[in-house]
Amino acid sequence: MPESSDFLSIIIDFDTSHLFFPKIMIGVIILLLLIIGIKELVTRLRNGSLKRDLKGFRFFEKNYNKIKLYGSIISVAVYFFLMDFVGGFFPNQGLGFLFTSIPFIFVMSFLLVGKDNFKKHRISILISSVVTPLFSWILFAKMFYITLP
Amino acid sequence: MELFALITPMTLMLSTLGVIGGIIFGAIPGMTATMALAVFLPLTYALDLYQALALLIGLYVGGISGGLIPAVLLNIPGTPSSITTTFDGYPMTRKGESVRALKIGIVSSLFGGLISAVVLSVFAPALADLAIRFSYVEKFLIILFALTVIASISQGSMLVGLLSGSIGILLSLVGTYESNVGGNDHTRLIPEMLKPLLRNGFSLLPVLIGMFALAAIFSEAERGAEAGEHQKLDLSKSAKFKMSVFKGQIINVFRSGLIGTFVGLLPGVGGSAASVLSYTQAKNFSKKPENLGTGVPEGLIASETANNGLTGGALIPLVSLGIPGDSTTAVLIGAFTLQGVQLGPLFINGNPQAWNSMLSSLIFSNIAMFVLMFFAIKYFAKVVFVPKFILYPIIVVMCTVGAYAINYGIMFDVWTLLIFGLVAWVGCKIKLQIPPLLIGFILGRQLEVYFVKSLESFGTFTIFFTKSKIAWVLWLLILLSIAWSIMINYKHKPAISKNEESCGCEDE
Repeated sequence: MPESSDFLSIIIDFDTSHLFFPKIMIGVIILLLLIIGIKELVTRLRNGSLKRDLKGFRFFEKNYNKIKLYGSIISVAVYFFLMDFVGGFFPNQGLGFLFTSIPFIFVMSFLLVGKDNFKKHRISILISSVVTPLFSWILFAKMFYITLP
Repeated sequence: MELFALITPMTLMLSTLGVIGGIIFGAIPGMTATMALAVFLPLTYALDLYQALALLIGLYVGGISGGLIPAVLLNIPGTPSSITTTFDGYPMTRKGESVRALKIGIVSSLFGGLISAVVLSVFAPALADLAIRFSYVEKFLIILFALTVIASISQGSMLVGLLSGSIGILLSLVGTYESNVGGNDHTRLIPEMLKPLLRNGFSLLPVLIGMFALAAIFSEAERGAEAGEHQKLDLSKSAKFKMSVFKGQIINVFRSGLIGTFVGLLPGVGGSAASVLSYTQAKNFSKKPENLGTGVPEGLIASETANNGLTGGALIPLVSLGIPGDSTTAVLIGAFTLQGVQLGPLFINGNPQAWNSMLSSLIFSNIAMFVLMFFAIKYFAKVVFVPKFILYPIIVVMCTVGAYAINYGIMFDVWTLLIFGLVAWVGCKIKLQIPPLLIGFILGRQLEVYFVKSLESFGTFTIFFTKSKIAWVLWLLILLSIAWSIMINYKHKPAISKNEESCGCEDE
């Protein structure tokens, strides 16, 4: 722990020096949170808008698109998980990447374009979902020997 | 000339490829130069340093320049630094002068880029010579100076900007206090169960890419990823471009180019500040200030010269001090690290070839950007209309490759991508500001080391004021920078907040 003999001098104990700076930063963050909290509270109390602002806070965009939002977050998570899982069967070949990227691009494009418009764009989506992973796999894994899952 | 000795067909090709890639990313609203660099980064694993530099600097220049396309055609700044381009560019399009406006922007971009390359070649070595003599104390102050930028990039509340920056610093401290920088090899801020994964903390690149690319995609998905306004623009019916437009604009060009470069020099201030400042100056000095904003070349020239001037400017602190001037150059640091090259005061003298190749790439990229865009602008303009549902999944895949390869195959880095994508997306919602958070994250570790080492060596807080005259100068700069950003914040709030709807997920 830092010990101070007078106000401005300081001795930092080497064994705990890894905690010295993080503690200061946590202090700064708490201080800033307090200041911001008090400032916001005071302005709102003064305007009398506290209740309205608390009620009016909206986390999501107005009429946000649940399917597209959660769908894309979940599909990215599943993609990462499966990539590692599938890649485990073919170590160091990057095939986990290749095999999972194709369905991932397809699913995510489908999600983003929406069911109604899918038919119109199915050819371009299909092409992009096969060509992109194949092209990057050949380029990175085969030509440049970059490790892929 | 020695400067051009390193130019090979391969580097020229990579530069050109980079410029094309950059223009495409810059032209698509929501995609930025930073993302372009992040996506192309995996390619550089297979290249040598000079080739990697050629590619990345090409991307940087292309990315900044491409932003003018949607700014002029659709009134949407493709990158934040082209905000002011919309002020006069779009009115020109509405007057049927779209191609003329685009070409004025392209020529201005070339001038801006070249002016900044000259300034870079003069200033960076001088600054590096000065920085070699810095001790821990001065280095700490330099980092502190870099952090003052947080004040000026804060959108809305400066206090929240500071809070975001502090959170970024704290996040950067997660992991081991490494002994190779003078630490004691103990870990901190990690829950017991995550120790094996987080021993080395979060890697910079997955954090960067996650916060920019993934977060932007999530918020787009939330908004429904609807197709943008597909205006039927007929570019062939536009008024013709003539070089004579630049007659009487020489002073404007130089003033704007220099403003761009010097704003870029201030670490982290970013492109929007550069072009806003230069646009304001053009207006102040204009003979007919009331015409600016109605579609006159003068404003367009000021904006585009400044935002390309930024490129060379942002590279100055990068090469001479090792501090990124914006999030795009932060990705460049990652690329240098990959190549095993340490940026900082010793870089220019230690790696004269890399330095030369950086300069020649910058000059060549600007020329390539000019040639490509000037003659093929009609084709690049089509990029604005690529559907998001094709683009976004591809970007996720490219980001994954980049994140996975950065430490030669660690799956946790890929998860970091998702974690920080979500952090940035949620962060935006609760009004945290992402660019300050990233600046904090990038500089946090150095801030710690220099701060703790200064105190360990001298045992007193007063050392930060009494160490040397350079320390005083740095304190002065810190104070000036804070004062300046408060002023800018106050004066230009309306112009900058125009960009606020992006909620800071997209970078500067």
